[in-house]
Amino acid sequence: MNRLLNISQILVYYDFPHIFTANDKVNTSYLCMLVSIEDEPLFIATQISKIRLINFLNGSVDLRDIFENPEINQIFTFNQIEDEINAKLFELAVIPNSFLPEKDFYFKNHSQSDDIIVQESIEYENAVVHLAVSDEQNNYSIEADDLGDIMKLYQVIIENTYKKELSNKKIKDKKSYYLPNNYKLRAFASSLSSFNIHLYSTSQRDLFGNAIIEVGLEKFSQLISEYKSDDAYIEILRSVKGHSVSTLRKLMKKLIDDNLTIKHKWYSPNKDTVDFIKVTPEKANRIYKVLNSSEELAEEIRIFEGHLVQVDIDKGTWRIKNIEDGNEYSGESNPDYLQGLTVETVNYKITCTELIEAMKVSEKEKTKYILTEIKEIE
Amino acid sequence: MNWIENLPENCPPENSFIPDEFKVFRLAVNETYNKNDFQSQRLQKPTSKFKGISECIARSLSVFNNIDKCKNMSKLPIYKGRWKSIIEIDLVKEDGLVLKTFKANHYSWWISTTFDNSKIKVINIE
Repeated sequence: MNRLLNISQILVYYDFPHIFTANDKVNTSYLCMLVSIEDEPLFIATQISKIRLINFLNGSVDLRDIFENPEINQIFTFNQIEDEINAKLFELAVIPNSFLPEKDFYFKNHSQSDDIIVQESIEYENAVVHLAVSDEQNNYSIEADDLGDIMKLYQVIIENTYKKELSNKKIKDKKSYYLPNNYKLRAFASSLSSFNIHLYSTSQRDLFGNAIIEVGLEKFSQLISEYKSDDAYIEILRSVKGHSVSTLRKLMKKLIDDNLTIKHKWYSPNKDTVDFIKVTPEKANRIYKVLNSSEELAEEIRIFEGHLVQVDIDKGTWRIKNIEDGNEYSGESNPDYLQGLTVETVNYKITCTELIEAMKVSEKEKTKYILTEIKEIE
Repeated sequence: MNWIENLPENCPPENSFIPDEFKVFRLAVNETYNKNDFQSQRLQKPTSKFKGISECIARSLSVFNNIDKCKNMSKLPIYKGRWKSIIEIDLVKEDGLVLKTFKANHYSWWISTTFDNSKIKVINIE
């Protein structure tokens, strides 16, 4: 009796994938382990319930126990990890001792108190966020307007920090990373902890559970963490200067004005810990003061490289095909900067100030680019 | 920089870093060590491919920056009863390039031909 499995996540890697999870066609989970590399690599797999898997991940179950005492008395073997794993039922009634790990191999990537968010992360196979909002009543309910405003501002910050962090990274062919599924979150549940919204991501992830949205989530965590000094915090803000800072300022103002507290918790399958940070109105006030201390932090500079598609000197407008993401961008300029430019055949580097004209909550935003410098490039 | 094995194009990745007294740990076979302790997956299993593992990673060596992670690995079936020691190395720029990969404490190390193994310290774990 064979089973076709798909590898889900590599949990332990050391020269080889040693321990990983896989699913069959009806989404039953399997825990898989490398047991020999003498000839061909040999792996064994056993079916595992979500609860037991969670207990393995939170460090309360020994790896040996899972294979020595499987929940369903079946062990499968295979030699390859390909797109589809063809696992064969192991004929022997008892697993040879040489296939078992020593006692006391514990894998711990979270504490038991965080089991819910970890379990959700396993189910959605991606990053999960719990964003809790409470007001002065602190009674597990919240004004719908406040919740809506906070959710909108939070999503915009995640989008902005994600895009900014991505632009700072040396990654080839970034086009697919800019797709909205990589930074948009979907709400799927709520729970009592203030008013706690559960959201999941559909961002790209690899077999180690690294979800690309993490770059935005990590930066947001950094932005709302305690900081050593105002100067140190300004340095962090400089790394995301522009829209992330201006939206963070709006969020902090909202917390201050309406006396709201947020609790931000998130987890991604590759993480060793669940990230949790609370922002009270007092903390928001400290952050807000620093955010207001330097106007240049909110200024967004954008650089495009590519050929000009259109230039209108009379109107002072231009349009460029940006090589990095393949999109066209248009903007305004002092007509003097546009004199003598060549359309279609010459590549230029354009530096712009990016303005967002309508940032009111729940209204659509309009982005405007003002050209400040243009140079010919090879 | 020259490498002890042939590496594919764009390997090591651009974001790998030059170690500067970067302490790492790796399981070893004996109380001393030999060249087998420095074999990448590709050298150990030239024809095996695993989904999700790039050729560049397959030609790197796994190391930890935490000795306890290394000790824990020794309990897994392919190392059980076989590995007896941990080697500790302070990597410097002549030893190659390093990149944090997959999980906290795990690093991939691409070894250069100028790696100096005389500085290795062996720690008995039994």
